[in-house]
Amino acid sequence: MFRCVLLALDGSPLSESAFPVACRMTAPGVGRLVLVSAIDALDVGRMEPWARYAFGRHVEAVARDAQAAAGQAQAYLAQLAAGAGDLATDAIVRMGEAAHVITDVAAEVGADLIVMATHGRSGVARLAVGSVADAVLRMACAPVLLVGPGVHSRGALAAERAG
Amino acid sequence: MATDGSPSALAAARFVASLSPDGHGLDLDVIYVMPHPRAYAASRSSAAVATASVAVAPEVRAAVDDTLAALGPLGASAHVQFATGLPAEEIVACARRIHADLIVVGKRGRHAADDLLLGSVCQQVLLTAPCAVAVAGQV
Repeated sequence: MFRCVLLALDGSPLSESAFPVACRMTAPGVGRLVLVSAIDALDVGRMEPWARYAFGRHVEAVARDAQAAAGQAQAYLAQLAAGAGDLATDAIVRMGEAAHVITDVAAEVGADLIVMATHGRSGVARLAVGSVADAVLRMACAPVLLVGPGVHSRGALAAERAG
Repeated sequence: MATDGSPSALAAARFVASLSPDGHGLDLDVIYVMPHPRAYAASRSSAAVATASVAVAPEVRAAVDDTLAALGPLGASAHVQFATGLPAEEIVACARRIHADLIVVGKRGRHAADDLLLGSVCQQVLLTAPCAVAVAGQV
């Protein structure tokens, strides 16, 4: 089992399907589960002055939207963390491109496992994994556990049978 | 877990070992897939394939032994399987056969093309796996 497990979430039921897996991979008692969401919005604070000028009043609206999205994400993660039982959890929401946020946070918290769901589709047909999962696999220094499309469809199948 | 004896596969073995440090509570199958001669037919003559398949056997044994050593206590109780065919297909078929909860593969195998960061076997397994897949190893 692992002492620090990072679970990447984007708010979709698909990404949530990896939650039970991440919980099981976290060592009970000593382990910590870190829930991470990325808000991929324009980072106004890091924009060039000319861009701020060009976007004019839109900049403020974009920043407001991003803040609202971050607030929602934080609430969502807190709600999900409540379902982790006795496990110690952290919820981190950060602005930026998803794969970078995931690998950056993984390095910062010293994650020894990254867990995420992947839809198994991509714009490029030859890519078996989604673009975020693919980028995380390439950049991450920790092992990556992917809950793939086969698992979701099997889960859906079981749900159908049960229903 | 799947192995080909590559550094990535050994990293995958250490990952599996960390799942059960004392070697208990985990049913482990280690599969080594010998690529089917037909997989090479396009690029090699049949004579070369015949020679290669005879010559590779001790190498396969060594790869599996290295993997079992990297598995720590789990290595002693692991079931070793050999298969012949397309690696990704055989790995997934094995996972279905044994109703695996988890497949563990290395990021890239020994025969990975240099320009691909993620091995093709790893990618194909991810796409068709009936269960979760863990990918271990440095790029």
